[in-house]
Amino acid sequence: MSTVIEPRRPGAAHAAAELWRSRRLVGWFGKRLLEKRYQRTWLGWAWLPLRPVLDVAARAFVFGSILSVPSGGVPYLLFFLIGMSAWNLFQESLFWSARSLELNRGILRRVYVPRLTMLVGSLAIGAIEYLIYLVMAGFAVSYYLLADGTTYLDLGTNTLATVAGLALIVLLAQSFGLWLSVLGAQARDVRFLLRYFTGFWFFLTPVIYPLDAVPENLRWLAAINPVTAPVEMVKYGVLGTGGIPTEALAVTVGFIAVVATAGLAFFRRSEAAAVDAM
Amino acid sequence: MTKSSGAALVLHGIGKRYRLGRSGGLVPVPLFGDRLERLERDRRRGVEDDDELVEDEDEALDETEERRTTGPARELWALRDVNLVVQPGEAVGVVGPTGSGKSTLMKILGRITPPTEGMIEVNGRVAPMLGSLSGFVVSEASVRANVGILARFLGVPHAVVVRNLESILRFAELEGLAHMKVKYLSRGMSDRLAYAVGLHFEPDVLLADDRVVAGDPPFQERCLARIEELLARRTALVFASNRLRTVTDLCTHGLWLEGGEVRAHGTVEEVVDAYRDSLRPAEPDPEPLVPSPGPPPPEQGTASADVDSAEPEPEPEPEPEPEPALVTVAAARLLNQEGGLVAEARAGETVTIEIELEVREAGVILTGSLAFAQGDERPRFVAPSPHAVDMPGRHVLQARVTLDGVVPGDYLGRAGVIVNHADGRVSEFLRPKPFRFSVEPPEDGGQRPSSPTASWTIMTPTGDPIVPASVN
Repeated sequence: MSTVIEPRRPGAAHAAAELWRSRRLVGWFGKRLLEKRYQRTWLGWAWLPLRPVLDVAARAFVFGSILSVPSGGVPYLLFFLIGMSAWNLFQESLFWSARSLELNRGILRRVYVPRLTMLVGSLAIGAIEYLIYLVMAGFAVSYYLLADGTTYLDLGTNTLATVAGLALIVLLAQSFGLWLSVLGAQARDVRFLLRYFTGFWFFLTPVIYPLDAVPENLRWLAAINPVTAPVEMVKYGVLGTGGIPTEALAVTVGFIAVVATAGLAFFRRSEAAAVDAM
Repeated sequence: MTKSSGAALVLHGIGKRYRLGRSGGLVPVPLFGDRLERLERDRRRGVEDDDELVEDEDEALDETEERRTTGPARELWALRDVNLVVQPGEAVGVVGPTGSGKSTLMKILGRITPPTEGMIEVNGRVAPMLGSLSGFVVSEASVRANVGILARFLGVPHAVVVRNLESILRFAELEGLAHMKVKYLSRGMSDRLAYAVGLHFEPDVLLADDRVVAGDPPFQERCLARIEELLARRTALVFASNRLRTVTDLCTHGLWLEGGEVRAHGTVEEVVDAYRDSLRPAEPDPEPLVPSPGPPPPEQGTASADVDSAEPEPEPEPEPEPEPALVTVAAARLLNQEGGLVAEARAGETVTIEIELEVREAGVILTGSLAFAQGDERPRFVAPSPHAVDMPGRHVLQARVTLDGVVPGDYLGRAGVIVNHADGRVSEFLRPKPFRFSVEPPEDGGQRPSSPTASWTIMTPTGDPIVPASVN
């Protein structure tokens, strides 16, 4: 095996091959991130389920009980849990991707590891929290089965839409992550802005309300939002509410194609500069 | 691993430009006081040669270090037009004052940062900088788990790690502690673990800086012995350091960097001598730097006075390296029980290995060490022990070694002496020429399964033996 070290980084195919060879590091970076997040806490790993539970409890109460947001015939808690599971996967993956290089700068400054492993590893938090949302949804379903005698679920071939929606969310978050990781390593502004931006984005995405609750004159806003389609798909696949918004789906796929392609070029060009600047 | 006949490393016109002092943003955050800014700037400059031993595991999520600087943007070529060919088995010592580009070169070789210009061909696997692994030891994980974690940074497949676990732990002397969490180990032990992993797998190119060794003197010696073994097995070494003595000991070639450019390139002696000369003030020094192993200084009093008068050699700025040798070593030899010089021994027999030393200054601690290996095998080490020496003159360090459990065959023995100042500071590492000997099968034909054992003594100039000093 021989390597060439040059000012120009090797191409995307090489980066992918390298990522595959170092796949064991991906898991390790994921684990390290989770541990770092919860170390020096009193409750430790208990925070892992606690954060989503608190999040859901507060928001479901406000939107479902106080504001009585419509939920297409499904109990609001369940509707919100499913939508939120998808959104949270996106939001956490996005946020932690922005910190993936920055949090590992001690390693980046000392040894060479394929830097994409850190970006992919940062999916760990979103993925784990998604599983926690699934468990919470499981509890909610059992509750409704006992209370109302129905699960309100609509599982079948449509469930494939959920799987596809989740895949799109991960791809979308990682595409943005290619940019955010490098920028986030250079300036903390990225992180601050991202927090506010995702907070706003959350309300623009049909998570707390169904897509058909959006007024006709603002539908375009939902349609150009690349997260709309995957979130709707996740809900449709499990609850059977709504459907697959084709226009929005096209937007999502287009976003991924453009952001990922340009992002990969940007990442390869700028990761080294980011490390130098750390 | 098969290695092709080509060079291990070829550098073509390598250059690296840093952009320093790029604006800290629209509204620079350290609003108050130049002092802080100055500190920041100093630290940024220090990045070039920083010797980071900081543990990152302890960093909290939000403790992001501020490394940005303010002020006008400025370009700095940390390295320019460096050409170098390193053959397998060659060791290149990179020397030069602080800020000369040594660390930048190492970072480029380690692929931590890409060069701005030029190209490097690497034939094979480059191991991360020796010593850098210490920062990755996870204190919450077990010794065993850490071997796996560290090996990941070397790109070693997990199956290979499992197969080599035993010998790694043996090298680190942590055999019984595989399941112990690293946080219960001493810092030295965790360093030993990191170095054992870093040195175990044979890389095609090994990188090292001042942290080429760690731990206590015996372990330092083992690290150096292992590096020499790797060199013998065609690993190439690039060693950037100002420990000039270690550089000369380990390296075959030298590369002298100054201001990011190559000042000299050649055999290690030539380059290090030239570099030393450049550090010395213009007036030639009357005292020879390395005393020839001549007659011992007549009296203790005058001996130390001599040293004192030689001492105020104005230390040229950065490194206090070129000190006169405290101890010089003559030769190591193998003796039989009767004290006769021999070249062969019988397994199970007790032999003596003698190392002759010339001590210039009292108050040093000498630790002898001994390793012997058959062909390409990993060397077997004989437990070393330290001796406090309180008078100058000719000393003889003796190891009585019982060759139990030694497979018959031809061996290469390497003795070493680590010289510590009484305050524990390591000052020198001496190695006499290796000696060859052969081991015959034991007389009774059977092999005892035990390992060789040794006891060390040191004979003072007056002929009194000193028993090993008690180590804390």
